[in-house]
Amino acid sequence: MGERLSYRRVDWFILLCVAVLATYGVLFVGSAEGEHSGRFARQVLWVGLGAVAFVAAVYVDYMKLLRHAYLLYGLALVALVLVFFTRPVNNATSWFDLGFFKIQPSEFAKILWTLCMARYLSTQAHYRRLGGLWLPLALTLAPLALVLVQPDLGTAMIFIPALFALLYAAGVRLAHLGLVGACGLAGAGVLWVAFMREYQKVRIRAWWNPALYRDTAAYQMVKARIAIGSGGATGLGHGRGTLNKLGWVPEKETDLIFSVIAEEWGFIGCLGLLVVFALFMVACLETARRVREPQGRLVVIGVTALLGFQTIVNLWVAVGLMPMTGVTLPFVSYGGSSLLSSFLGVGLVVNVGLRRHATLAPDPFST
Amino acid sequence: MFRRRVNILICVFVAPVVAVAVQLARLQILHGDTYRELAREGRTWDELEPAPRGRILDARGETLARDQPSYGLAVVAAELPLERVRVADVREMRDAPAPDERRRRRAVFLDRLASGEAAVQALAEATGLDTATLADGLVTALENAVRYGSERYPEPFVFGLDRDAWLRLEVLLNPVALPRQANRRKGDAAREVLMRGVECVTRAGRAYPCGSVACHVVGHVGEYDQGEVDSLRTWGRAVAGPRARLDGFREAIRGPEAALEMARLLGRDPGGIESAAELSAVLREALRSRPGAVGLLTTALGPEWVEMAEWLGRPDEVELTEGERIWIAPRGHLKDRRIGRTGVERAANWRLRGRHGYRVVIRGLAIEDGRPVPELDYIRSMKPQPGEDVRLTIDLRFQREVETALAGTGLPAAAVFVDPRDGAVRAVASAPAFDPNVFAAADPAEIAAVLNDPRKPLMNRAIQGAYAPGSVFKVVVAIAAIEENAISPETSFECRHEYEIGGHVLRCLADPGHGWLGVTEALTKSCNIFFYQTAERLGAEALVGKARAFGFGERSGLDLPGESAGSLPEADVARGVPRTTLAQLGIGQGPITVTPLQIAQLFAAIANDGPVYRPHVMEGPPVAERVVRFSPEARAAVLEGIRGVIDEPGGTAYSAFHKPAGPGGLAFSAEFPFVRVTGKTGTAERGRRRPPHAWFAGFAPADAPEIVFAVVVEGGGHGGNVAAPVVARALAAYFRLNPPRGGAAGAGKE
Repeated sequence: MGERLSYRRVDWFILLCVAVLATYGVLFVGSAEGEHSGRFARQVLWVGLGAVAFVAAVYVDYMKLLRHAYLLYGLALVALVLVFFTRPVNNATSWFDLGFFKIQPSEFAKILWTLCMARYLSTQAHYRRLGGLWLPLALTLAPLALVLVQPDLGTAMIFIPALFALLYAAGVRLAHLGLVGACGLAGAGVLWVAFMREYQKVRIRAWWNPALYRDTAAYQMVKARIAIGSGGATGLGHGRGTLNKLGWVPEKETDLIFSVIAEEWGFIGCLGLLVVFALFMVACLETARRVREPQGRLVVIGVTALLGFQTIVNLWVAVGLMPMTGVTLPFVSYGGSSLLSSFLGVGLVVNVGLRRHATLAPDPFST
Repeated sequence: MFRRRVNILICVFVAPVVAVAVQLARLQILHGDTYRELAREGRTWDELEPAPRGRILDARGETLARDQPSYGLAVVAAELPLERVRVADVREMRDAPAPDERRRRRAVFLDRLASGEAAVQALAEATGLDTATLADGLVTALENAVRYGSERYPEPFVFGLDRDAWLRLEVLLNPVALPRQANRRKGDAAREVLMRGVECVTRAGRAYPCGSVACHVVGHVGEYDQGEVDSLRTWGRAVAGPRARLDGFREAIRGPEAALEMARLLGRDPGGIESAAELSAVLREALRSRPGAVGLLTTALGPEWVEMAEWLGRPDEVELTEGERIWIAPRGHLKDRRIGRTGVERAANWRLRGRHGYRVVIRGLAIEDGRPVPELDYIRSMKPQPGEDVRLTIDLRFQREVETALAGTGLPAAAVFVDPRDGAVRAVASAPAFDPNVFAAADPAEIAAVLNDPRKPLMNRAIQGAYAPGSVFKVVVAIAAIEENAISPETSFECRHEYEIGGHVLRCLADPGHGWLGVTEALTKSCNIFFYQTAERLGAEALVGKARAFGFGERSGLDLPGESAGSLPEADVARGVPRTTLAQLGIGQGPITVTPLQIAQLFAAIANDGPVYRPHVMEGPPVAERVVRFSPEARAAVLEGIRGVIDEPGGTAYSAFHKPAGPGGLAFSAEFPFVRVTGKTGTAERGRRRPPHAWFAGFAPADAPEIVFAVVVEGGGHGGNVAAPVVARALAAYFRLNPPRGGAAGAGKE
């Protein structure tokens, strides 16, 4: 079914938000790394590639993609398995090293999983019953487990709230969701206690009581927080964040780039970023609301949930509301795979918003 | 319904973002100033300039101990190329809840490091150390790195490497041809081939150029170990502020006994001390003016005051070692953890150590050409104050001769030579000796060998060895008896070789007995029976009392640590001793032990006719210690008696001084005809099966004494045969170096 792509239906607002976020990213990777360093150049490069990916993601009709959703999902799982045969970097087998750059399959697996879930949840109705929930769960647990074992707790974690958001949006009964949630928590609790390594337990203790662990486990966390706090209302000035420049803040261009923003642009700068993120998420959800086609809706919800929860986790870790996990800030943190997959995701969202497909029911997902 | 759910989802996403904004407001706006201050503090640290430790010099300025760089290695934890173990394992090891578990994990980690890691093997080859030593050092360094977050900074882990090996390693690890700053990547690449994460470092070490000569006097230097660091840190916190000191003091004197004890010690009411400054002044005064104040303070206030008392001498020099980065004004220590353990290194540790300098550094950012550049700013600084050199009263040339003479006996032995006119010690020797340089060795096994040697080379027998004095003590008995009118210089007893007391038969050396003799002859011939009877007449209490007056049973006050006080029965105990014991005491056996130093002080009293000066190895003004009273008759009788020991052909030490020591040598009396040596031999029995200790003590020249000596050879047999020749040889060396007024053989006349 052909439709004309109308400029008016492109969610320019979403594009604007993404552009602002990407600009933040480029600016602060530049500041954190130095304008002439390799990482800054790469960040610019990846943003450019991301823009290309974005266009590609918008151009192809998403329905065509969804036809191969299961296949793509299978490919994602294969990639996640294959990655175990690579050399560990930082004690984790999370990357394919292709010489010039590294690809992190888990980032792309998230998007492909969304496609799969969108297809499944909109074409099958079994999940309305409690018993029918096991397949979506299984479909989620597979990539989750594979990512978890890399080990990459942070990325694996994001699957769960994204799943719940998808299920919720697809109309699963709250009671069922609650039940699954409770079981999941219990199961996770058991796994946690049984398999959690000493240093992870220490991390949690350190987060709970940073003063006690000031010189040991919480050392870096405390330094990051000092960096944030010292930014004050207006920040120390771009490129003048002493703590991050002098190397006291770890992962300052990836996981903790927010602390660089906080130190250099202060509360104002951070607030701007937060507002843009919030608006971005709302805009995406508005697209979901506007669009009628059920698969499209779910794609949007899925992508928004992935990006949104990742953002929230990263921000909460940065300001100390959560113990440290390793997730990047979408569009802002340095990281090729993360940028690329985020741009692809947003591309899909705009893609969905662009098209008008027929639906079988006037208001899908209504009970 | 979907719409409603989307609305809910919007809230689900937006609410946490709002929470972030709220937290940010708290951190940045509410507490922004606090964090700014913390950031500034975090960028501030002290840069140390260690002060060089003072040297120890002999009387003529020859160096006995000096600083020397110690060569070692440091590890950058984050870069060390470990294959089988990980630095994260160290974190796990440290986080173990129970100490046993921690130890077990540490042992496992050590084992893996030592046996499985190529990096450790390579280091072992390059340095010549064994893998176990290296692994142990590495684990400690990694623990520190993980603990203080310094994984990216070099942490030293082994020292005492051979200089050449170190230089070779240094060239390997820092290729000179590749300028590091300019072309960092290439340099890093080269280093990757050889060994990442290891750097060559130096720190201050100690060298003893004279080796084992005067080793017991000089002592050696050790390092604070972790236990001492921790305990220093603990009480350092307690004394961190003068306020804390005052509180600690008040706490200690809470009980009425403690308060009374303290009042007695300080000479004033301790409760009336109001301010911390007053407390410091009062304590300092007490430490300075009252001998033994340190010991009393320790008893009264507890063991941590041992160290405290020393530190209190300079209240502003209290320091702490590294670790929690707790600093006490003025800041200091850190790189140099050395502390003297024995000898002068310990006794004069404060003078030798000097005071470290420091600079407070703030790391900030400057903008140069639009780019931020780290810069360093210095706030205030204190110049390091090098340690004082300490000069000894010992002449190394003489000391060497004494040590050689002692070593010639082949037995454990000790010798003390003191100048009685001012208490300056001319030689202190103890055999067997050790080389203090061994403590700078990298291999702990070498150090352990010295520490665990059953012959106890570390013991300074001259001041720590407590021996039965034997016949040397008869001098004391003689003087006491004459003073107390138990006998007169003319009194004579008969010696018939055997003497019965209370059913036991005691003997004299001569068989048959000496016949009738007076005190003078008894001393010359060392007759036991005479002194059995003298002791009986004298009584134990008076005997012991006079011995105490000569300084037996208490320390002589030498400025070296570890002096023993010997042992002497208390007056009330002495009253009740059985007759046989009393007789034994009369000849210097039984419940009495003395150190060679105490014997030397005894003869110093006799040589000076009363006044005794405190012995000292470090240069300083003479300090009068006590005045021993005895009458001219007593002195004359004793002097006459012991003169004969050497000068009369029947004297027990005659041959040592009148016969040449070896073929082609001169006898002492031939070489120094105008120097009269006077003294007493002793043969201290130790039971039937063990050879007795050989003693010889006295002074020279007899008319104007300038050197007092006491020599004991453990298990040497007869004093005249074994100890006296040592003295003869040593005195010959002494008078060669310090020609007597009368001149040597063939030079001038009297």
